[in-house]
Amino acid sequence: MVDEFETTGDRRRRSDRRSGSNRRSGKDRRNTTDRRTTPDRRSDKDRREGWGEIEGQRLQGALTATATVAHLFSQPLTIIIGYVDLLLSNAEEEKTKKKLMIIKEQLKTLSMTLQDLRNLREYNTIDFDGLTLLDMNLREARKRD
Amino acid sequence: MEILLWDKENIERELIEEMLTNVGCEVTSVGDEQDCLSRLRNKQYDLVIFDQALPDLDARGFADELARINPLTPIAMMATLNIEFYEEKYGDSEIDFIITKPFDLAQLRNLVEEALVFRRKLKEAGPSSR
Repeated sequence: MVDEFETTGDRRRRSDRRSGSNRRSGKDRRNTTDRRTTPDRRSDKDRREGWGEIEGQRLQGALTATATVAHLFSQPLTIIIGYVDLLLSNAEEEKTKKKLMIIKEQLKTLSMTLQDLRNLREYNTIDFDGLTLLDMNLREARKRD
Repeated sequence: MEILLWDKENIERELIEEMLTNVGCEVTSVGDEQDCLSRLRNKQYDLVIFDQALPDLDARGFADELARINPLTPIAMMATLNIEFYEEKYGDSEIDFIITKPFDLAQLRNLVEEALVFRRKLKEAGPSSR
């Protein structure tokens, strides 16, 4: 999802990834401000009410989406985790145990992400290679990697 | 410890039955709401576990019915959303435990152990303690 209104202020922290020159004019694009002059697409009502209303709607949309994902992913994950645990409790060969442990660790990471989705309370975003993503614990996850 | 499990999803039901057996429980599993109620009417169980993930299930009403049949049997619900949501919605219901999916063997074992302790307390306090 692209945060086209750039309401979170993330853009200020981003480096300018535009290429050096405009292909048509040959001018250095980094000196222009063309990216900041996109039309204000807010309705009159939104302009009057400010961004608070829109932020609230975005949070509501995000909560609906994350709750749906959490609900739909819960059952398949339960089944996979459960069977991995059962296989682990019966596995005798060390190689097999080790592989099952690796699968279990990865499943734990998925479960934690699902928990992050359930715990979402604020609409915060982060920049991920030019895309705007919901800010859950992605920074922490990156550190873990 | 004898457990009555109601889960409509066959694969999940078989798995949880196997997990519960693995932690030393005897399990009766059913795939139907009425079957679950009738089993509870005919036998004492130490814990009832049911799956909330059915869109048309009245979880509160179902738990009320379970508690009416046997007030000394703890009730656990398997759920998929945020625990705060359930605490707000079912905090004053007859549901004693909520276990959030996905869960592993250790979490299921914890539930069984906690339910056992709770059942002992319920027994000591008597049916009116609910």
